[in-house]
Amino acid sequence: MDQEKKTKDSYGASLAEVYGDIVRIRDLAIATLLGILGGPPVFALAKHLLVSWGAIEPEKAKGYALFLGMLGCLAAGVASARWFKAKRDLVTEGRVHFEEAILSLGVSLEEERAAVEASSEDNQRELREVGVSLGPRQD
Amino acid sequence: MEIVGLALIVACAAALLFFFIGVVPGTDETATLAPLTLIVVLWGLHPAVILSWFMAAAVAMQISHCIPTAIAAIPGSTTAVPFVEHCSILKRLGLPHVAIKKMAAGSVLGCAVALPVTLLVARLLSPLGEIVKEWAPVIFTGGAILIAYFSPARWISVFMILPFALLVHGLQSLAAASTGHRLFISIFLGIAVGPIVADEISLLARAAAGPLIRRTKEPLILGPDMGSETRLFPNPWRILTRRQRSTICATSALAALTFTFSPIGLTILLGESLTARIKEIYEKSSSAVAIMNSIANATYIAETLIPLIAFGIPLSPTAFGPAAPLFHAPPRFTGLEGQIDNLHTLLAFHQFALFSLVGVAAGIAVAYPLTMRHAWAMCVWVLRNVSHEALLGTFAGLIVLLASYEAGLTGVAISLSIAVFGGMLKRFFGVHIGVQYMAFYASPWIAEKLLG
Repeated sequence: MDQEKKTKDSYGASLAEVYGDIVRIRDLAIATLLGILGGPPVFALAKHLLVSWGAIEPEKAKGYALFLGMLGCLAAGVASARWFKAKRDLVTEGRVHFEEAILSLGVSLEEERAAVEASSEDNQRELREVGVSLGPRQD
Repeated sequence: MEIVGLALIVACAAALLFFFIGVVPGTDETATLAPLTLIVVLWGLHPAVILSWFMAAAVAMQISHCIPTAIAAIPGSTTAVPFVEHCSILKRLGLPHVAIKKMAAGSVLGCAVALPVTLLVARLLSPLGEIVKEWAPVIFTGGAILIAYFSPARWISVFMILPFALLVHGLQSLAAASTGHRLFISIFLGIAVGPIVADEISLLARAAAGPLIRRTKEPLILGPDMGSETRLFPNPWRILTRRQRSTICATSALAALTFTFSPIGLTILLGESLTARIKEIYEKSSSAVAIMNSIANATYIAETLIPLIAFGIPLSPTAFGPAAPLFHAPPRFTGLEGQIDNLHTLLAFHQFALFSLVGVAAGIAVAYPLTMRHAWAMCVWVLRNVSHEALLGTFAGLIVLLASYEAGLTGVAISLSIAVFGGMLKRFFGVHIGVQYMAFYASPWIAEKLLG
C-alpha cells in the first residue's frame, strides 16, 4: 500500500513527454481545461447575444462569435503560459573551435583541409568570412 | 484596390502570427495552419483575402521554422525534420547563424521561382479539370492506397484504409441523424490532433504511460549567439553561393512540377541526392539546409495553388492537409462532395496570381527580416516563456471551439472519437495521418461501393 501510494504520488506529479516536449501532467490537465473553458463558452455566449440582438445577420454573428471564441482560447493560452513555466533547461554552448568540431564529427583535419582546397572559390571565401581557418598543412 | 489593401493587411497579420508559431518547436503545419485558416474562412472574409492569408502564413512559417531547428536542433515544424541533422552539424561547428541565413535565403529564392512556375503549370493543367473532378472519388481512393503503400508502415496502413473509412462513414451517419448534415471540420481536426490526443490519453493508463514518463527535465542545448544581422533585408542572392542558387532555382521549379509528392519526401530525396557528392563538411551541410528549405517552401506553394487553380479538389498532401479549408469548409466552401464551390470557382486566374503574390510577398517581408535580425533572441524567449502545456491547452480549446461551431456537442464527440482512434493508429501502428486523410476523403465512395 505504501509503495502504491508513493508510486501514485510521484506519478501524479511526474513529468511526461507529450508530442515531442516535456510537460508536467497536472499542469497539462489544467491548461487543457482552461483552453476548453476559455474558448467554446465565450463563442456560445457571444453567438447567443449577437443573434438575439438581431442587428447582424445570423451567419455574420456566428463569424464574430467565432472570433471572440478564438480570443478566449488565446487568453487561456496566455494565462497558462504565465502560470505554468516551460519545462526546458536551456544550456548555451560556448563558442567552439572549428577544428575541434571537425574532429568530433569523425573527420581528420587533413581530409577536411583537402576538401576545402578542392571546393569552390565561393565556399572558400565563405569559410574565411565566418572566421574559419584550418592552419597550414602538416607535410 | 480596397480588396488588395485588406489582403495586404490580413497577409501581414498572418505572417506575423505564423512567424511566432514557426519559432515554437514542434508545431505541426496541419494542426496550426488548418484550424486558424478555417476560422478566417468561416469569418466570411473575401476569398482573395483568404488566399493571401494562407500564402503569407505558410511562407512565414517555412522561414521561421528554421530558427529552433538551427539553434536547438529541434524541428520548428514537421517540414523542418529533414534538415535537423545538417543543422545539428552546423551547430556543432559553431555556425547556427549561418544555417539560419542559408535557410531563410533559400526560402526566399525558392518562393520567387516556385510561384511563377506554379501559376504556369496550373494554367496548363486547367483543361483537365473536368475529367479530374469526375474521377475524384476514385482518385482519392487510389491516392489513399498509394500513400499507404509508400509509407513506412506499409501493410498496416493499406489494411487500415477500409476500417478507418467505415468508421468515418458510421460517424457521418450519426452526425446526419443528430444534426441533419455531414461533418467535415470536426473529423478533419480530429485526425490532425490525433497524435497529440493519443499521447495525452496514454497518460491515463499505467500500461501505456510508461514510455512517456520522465523523471527529470532534459537539457536543451542551444548553439552560441554569434550576433545578428544589422541590415534590414540582406540580399538573399548574395547569401547563397553560385552553386546553391542554381540548384535552388532548378529544384524549386521541379517542386512545382511534382505537386502530388509528399513535401517531406521530396525535400529528403532532392536535398540529400544533390549534396551527396559534396565532400567538404561546411559546404555540404550549408548547401543541404538552403536547398531543403527552399524545396519545403516551393512545395507548399505548388501543392496549394495547382490543385486549387486547376481542379478545385485537394490532390496533394498540402491540399488535403494544411490547405484543406481553402477547398472544403462548409457551409462556406465545398469541394469534396459533388458540387465545387470554393476558391476555384470564386476567383479568376489573374486574382489567383495577384493575391498569392500579395501573400507570398507579405510572408517574406515580415518573416525574413525578423528571422535574420532577431532569431537567437526570439528562440530563447519562446523556449523560456511558452510552455508546452500552454500550447497544447490552446490547441485543445481551438479544436473544441471549431468542432462545436460546426455541430455543437455532436461535433466535439465525433472529433474526439476520431482523434482517439486515428491517434492510436499513428502512435501504435505508425499509420500516417496523410493515409487517414485520404481514407476520410474516400470514405463516401468506399462505403457506397461496399454497402450500397
